[in-house]
Amino acid sequence: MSAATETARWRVESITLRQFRGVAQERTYAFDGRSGLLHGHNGVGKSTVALALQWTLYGRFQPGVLANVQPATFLAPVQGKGKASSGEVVLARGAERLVVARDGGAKTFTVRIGEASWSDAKAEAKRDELLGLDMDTFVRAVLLQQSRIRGLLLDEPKERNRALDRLLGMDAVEHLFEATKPRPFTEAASAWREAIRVEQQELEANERLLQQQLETAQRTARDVKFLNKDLNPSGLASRYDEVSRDLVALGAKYDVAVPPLPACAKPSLAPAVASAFARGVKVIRLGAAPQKRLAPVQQAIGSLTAARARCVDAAKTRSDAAARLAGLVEKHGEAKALEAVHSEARERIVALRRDLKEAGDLRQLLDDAQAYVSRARPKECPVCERGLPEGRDLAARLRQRAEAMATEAVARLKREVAGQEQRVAAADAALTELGAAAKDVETAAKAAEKAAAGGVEALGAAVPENKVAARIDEALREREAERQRLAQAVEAMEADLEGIELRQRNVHGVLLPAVAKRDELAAHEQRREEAKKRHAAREVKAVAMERVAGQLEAIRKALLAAKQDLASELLDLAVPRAKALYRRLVRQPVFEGLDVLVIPKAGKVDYAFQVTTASGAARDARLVLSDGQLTATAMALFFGLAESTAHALDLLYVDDPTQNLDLPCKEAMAKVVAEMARRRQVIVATQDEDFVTFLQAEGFPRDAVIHHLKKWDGNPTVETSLPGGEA
Amino acid sequence: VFRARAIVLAQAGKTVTSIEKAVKAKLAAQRGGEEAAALWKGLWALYEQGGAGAVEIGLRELRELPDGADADAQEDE
Repeated sequence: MSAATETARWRVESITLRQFRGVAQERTYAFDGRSGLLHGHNGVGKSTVALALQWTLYGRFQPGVLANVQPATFLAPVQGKGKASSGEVVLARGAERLVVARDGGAKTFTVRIGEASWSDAKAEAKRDELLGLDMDTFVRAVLLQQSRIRGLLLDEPKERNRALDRLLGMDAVEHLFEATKPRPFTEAASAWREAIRVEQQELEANERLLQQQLETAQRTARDVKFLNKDLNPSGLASRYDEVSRDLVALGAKYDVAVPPLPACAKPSLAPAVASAFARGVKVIRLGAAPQKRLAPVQQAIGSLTAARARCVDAAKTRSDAAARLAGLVEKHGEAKALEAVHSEARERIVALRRDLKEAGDLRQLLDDAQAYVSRARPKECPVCERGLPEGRDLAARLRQRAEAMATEAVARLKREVAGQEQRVAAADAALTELGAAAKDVETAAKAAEKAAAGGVEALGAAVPENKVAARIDEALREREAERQRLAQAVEAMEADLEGIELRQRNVHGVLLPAVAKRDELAAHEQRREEAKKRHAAREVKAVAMERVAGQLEAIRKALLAAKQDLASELLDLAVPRAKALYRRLVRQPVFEGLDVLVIPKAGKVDYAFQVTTASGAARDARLVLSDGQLTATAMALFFGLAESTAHALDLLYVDDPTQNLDLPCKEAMAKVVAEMARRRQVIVATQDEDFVTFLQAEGFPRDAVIHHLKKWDGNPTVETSLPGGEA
Repeated sequence: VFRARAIVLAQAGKTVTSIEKAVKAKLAAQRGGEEAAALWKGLWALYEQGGAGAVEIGLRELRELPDGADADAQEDE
C-alpha cells in the first residue's frame, strides 16, 4: 500500500527543527508520507530528528529520560545555549493535513487541520484523539531507540524485567505500584490513635493527681476547722467577708480607718484580697494609737537615761578631782604656805651663796698670804707693820688656817645650800600638782554644770543642779510606767493582729487551695470533654487514613492484575510475530523458538524472556544468546509489539537498529525493515553504511526519501534523494 | 485540596490509556472498589501530569499526621 492510497492512518510529511540540539538554525526533513532513510556518521544529527519528533508531538520524555537535566538546556542548540527550541511536524492522511507545532520559547502547543486549530490542553486532547496514542504508546509502538532495549542485555534479572516493562509500556504500572505504598497511611492512622492514647493517658494521670491533691487539701482544711460548707467558692467568699469585717473592726479599735477587703467571688481573686489584707494589717500596725504614743515615750526615756548618765558621770569626775586636790593640800599644805617656803628657801640660798663667796675670798687671801710669807719670809706684818714673833712658822699657820676654813665652813655652807635647793624643788613639784588638780576640779565643775543643764533640758523644767539627777530619776520612773502601759497595749494589739492574720492565713493557705483545687478539677473535667471531641475527630482521621491505605492496597492489587492482563494481552498479540522475526533475525541452531511469558508472583508480576528448542526445552535468553543475538531478539519483540498495537499513526521510526549485530544479522534486519516499509511508513536512522547497502539491496522502498547527513558544523549538511533520482 | 486538584486534572480531558482503564476495571470488580476507583482517578491524573513524583507528593498531601509526628521519619521506616 503506497502513501498515496493510504487514507486510514497518518503519515509524516515533514519534520522541521528550529534551534534544536544539532540544528542551530532551521532544518526541515521532508518525507511526503513515504518511508525514509537518514544516514550519516556519528554526531551529524540523526538522533536529533527522533528527539524532535517526540518533543514536538508530546513536549516531554518518558520518566527516567533526562532525569537530572533541564529539558530546555538539553534541547537548546549545541552552539546556542539559552535559545528556545521549536519544532513542527506535518502529518497527512489522504487529503487531510495535520500540523503539530511546539514553541519552547512561547511555551505554546498548537494543532491545526485546515482552518481549524487548537492550542495547549485542547490541542493535546485533539492530538491524542486524532493519533489514538499517548506518549507512552508512542515510544513503545512507534519510536524504537536502542536505549529502550539495552536493559535486556543486563545480567541482573530485575533490570531485565524493568527493560521488558519499558518495552511493554508497563513501567508506568511499576512506578505507580512503587508510589502507592499503603504503609505510610497505616502508620499515620497508628500515629493518630497513639496521639489519642497518649493524651488520654495524660488526662487520666492528671485527674488522679488532681483528685489526690483535692482530697489532701480538703482534709487539711477540715483539720483547721473549716466545714464542708466552706469548701467551695461561696464558702471562701463568706470566710473572707468575715475576715474583712473583723479587720475593719480591729482598725476601729485602734483608731485606724481600714477599708473593707474586696469581695473574693472566685479563687482567682484571692491574691488581690490577700494583698489588701496585708495592707490593712500594716496600716493598723503602724497607725494604732498605742503604737504611735509609745515611740515618743521610748525616745524620752532614752534621752533622760542618757542625761542622767551624763550628770552622774560629771558629778563623780568633779568629786574625784576635789578629793584629789584635798589630798594634795593635806599632803603639801596650802599653796600660799608652799609659796612662802619656796620664797624663804630661795632667799636663804642667795645668802648662803654670798657666804660661800666670802669664804672663798678669805681663803684666797690666806693662800696669797701664805704664798707671800713662804716666799718673802717677812719680819713684820705687811699690814700692821708690827714685828712677827720669832720662831713661829707663819706660813704653816696660814696654811692650817686656810685648810680649816675649806673643810668645815665651806662644807657646812654647801650642805645648807643643797638642803634649801631641795626645799625649793619640793615646793615647785607640790605647787605644780596642786595647780593641775585645781584645774581638773575646775574642768569637772564646768562639765557637771553642762550635764546638769542637759538634764534640765531633758526634764523640760528649771531644776537646781543638785536636784537634777533626782528629778531625772523621778521622770524616768514616770516614763517607764507609761512605756509599760503602752507596750502592753501594743502587745495586745499584736495579739489581735496575729489572731486575724492566722485566720487569714488559714483562709488563704488552707481553704483557698482546697477550693482552687476543686475548680481545677472542674476545669480538668471540661478539658476531658473537649479532648473527647478531639479524640473523636482524630479517630475519624485515623479511619480516613486506614481507608486510604485500604484503597491503595486495592489499587496496588488492581495494578498488578492489570499489568498481568495487559502484558499478557500485548504479548499474545506480539509474540507470534516476534517469534517469526526471531527465527529470521537470529537463526539460532538449537534454540529456534522464542517465548515471552508473564509470571505473576507475590506482590509483583515478572517475565520469562526465554528461547526454546524444538523439543520444547526453555532457557533464559540472556543465558543462551550473545549480546548481538539478544539485541536482535529484542528488536523482534519490539517489531511484534509495534505491529500489534492499534493506533492512527502509520509510522515506525527505528533509530540505529544494528548495534551489536553481525553482518548476516544486519542483512536479515534489512530484509525485515524493507518488508515493513512496503506496508507502512518506516523511517530508519543509521550510521551503519553496511546496513544502508543491505537496505538498498533489499529494495527499501523505491519511493523512499533518503537524507544523507554528510557533515555537521552547527547545522547538518544534508543531501536529500527523492524517488526517481530527484535531489 | 488534593482530591479537588486531582479531580480537576482528571476532568481536563487527559487521555485515558489502557492502563488507566484496566486498573479501573479491576477496581470495579473488587468488592468496595468504588472508593479506591475515585482515588485511582486522581492518582492517574497526577501521574500523567508529573509522573510518580507527583503521585508521591499528592499522597503525602493526602496523608495527615498529628502535630509532632515526624512524617519523614515514618517514611524512612
